[in-house]
Amino acid sequence: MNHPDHLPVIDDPVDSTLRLIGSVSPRPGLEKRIAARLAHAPVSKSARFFGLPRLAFASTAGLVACAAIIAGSVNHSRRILPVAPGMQLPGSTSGIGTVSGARVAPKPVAAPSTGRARSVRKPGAESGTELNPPRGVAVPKRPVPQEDQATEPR
Amino acid sequence: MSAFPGQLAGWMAPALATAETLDSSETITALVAEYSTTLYRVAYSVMRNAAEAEDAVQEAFLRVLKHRDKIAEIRDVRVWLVRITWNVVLDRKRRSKTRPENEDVADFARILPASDRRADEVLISSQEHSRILKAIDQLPAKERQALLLSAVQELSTSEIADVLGTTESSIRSRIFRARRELSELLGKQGGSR
Repeated sequence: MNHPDHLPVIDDPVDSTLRLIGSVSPRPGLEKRIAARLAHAPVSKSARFFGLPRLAFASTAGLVACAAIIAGSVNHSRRILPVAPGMQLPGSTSGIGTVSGARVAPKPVAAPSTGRARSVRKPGAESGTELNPPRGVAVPKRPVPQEDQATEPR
Repeated sequence: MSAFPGQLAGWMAPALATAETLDSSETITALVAEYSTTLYRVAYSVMRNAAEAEDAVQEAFLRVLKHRDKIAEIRDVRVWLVRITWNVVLDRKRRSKTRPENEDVADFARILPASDRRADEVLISSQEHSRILKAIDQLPAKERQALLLSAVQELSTSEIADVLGTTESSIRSRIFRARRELSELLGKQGGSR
């Protein structure tokens, strides 16, 4: 158990050690040795590009690159802007009322003659569930159309 | 010392003609003359090895040379130099953790004041100092750093606070805690021996 009374007893050698560490002297001629070391050190100036310090040059180059990327991205987005059929986007407006900015085309747009839905179910075609019903599930059979029943051989 | 300014002028020979260069050369000459011993003590308090401490001081002045343009803007050159040296020695200490400790009793005995003490007294004393320094090394980093810098006689509490980037009161409490923990550590060691 440490008691505060012990502190002064121990502080004395601690102080002595700290005093010793703090008052240590270098070998004679330290200044000359430092000078000799500095004499052989390459005196390098801070790197400069086009007369600008390296940091300023790098920052400027970074800003220019960012601006170019943003400008390119915005330009690209404008070109591929999707236009819904039958809608006419206003050219240049004041920017107010963007919701009502979409105008309905003056004439109805005719559907293309060759156009059809992506998936047309042919009569009589069986779906995947009918072909391979899952086990344990009762799938009701589709009623056969009347005309087919008439032509069906007995 | 007479050849010293000439030597320092030598490393700036290519640009010697400019008054600015001459000024910075003279400034660094003056800084080396005035602060090298203090910086050596700061370095030695951490490195505990004469050669490594000297090397650290030299590296600190190389950094000063690199940033010589800023010297005129520095408010307190002494604190600035101590901080540079402190960073150098902490970097080196961190790197050297992978290497075995080279501090030994014989090296420590060399710095002890010889006076008229007998050799065995010096040896016992150096062993005791070595034991205390090992205990100091076990302290938490903040307390240890404050305690070691407080050992350097030339540094005031406010200067230590500037070097470590904290307040004077914080430094005082760190030193107090360091001493208390050190006493406990040494007390335990004394009891276990």
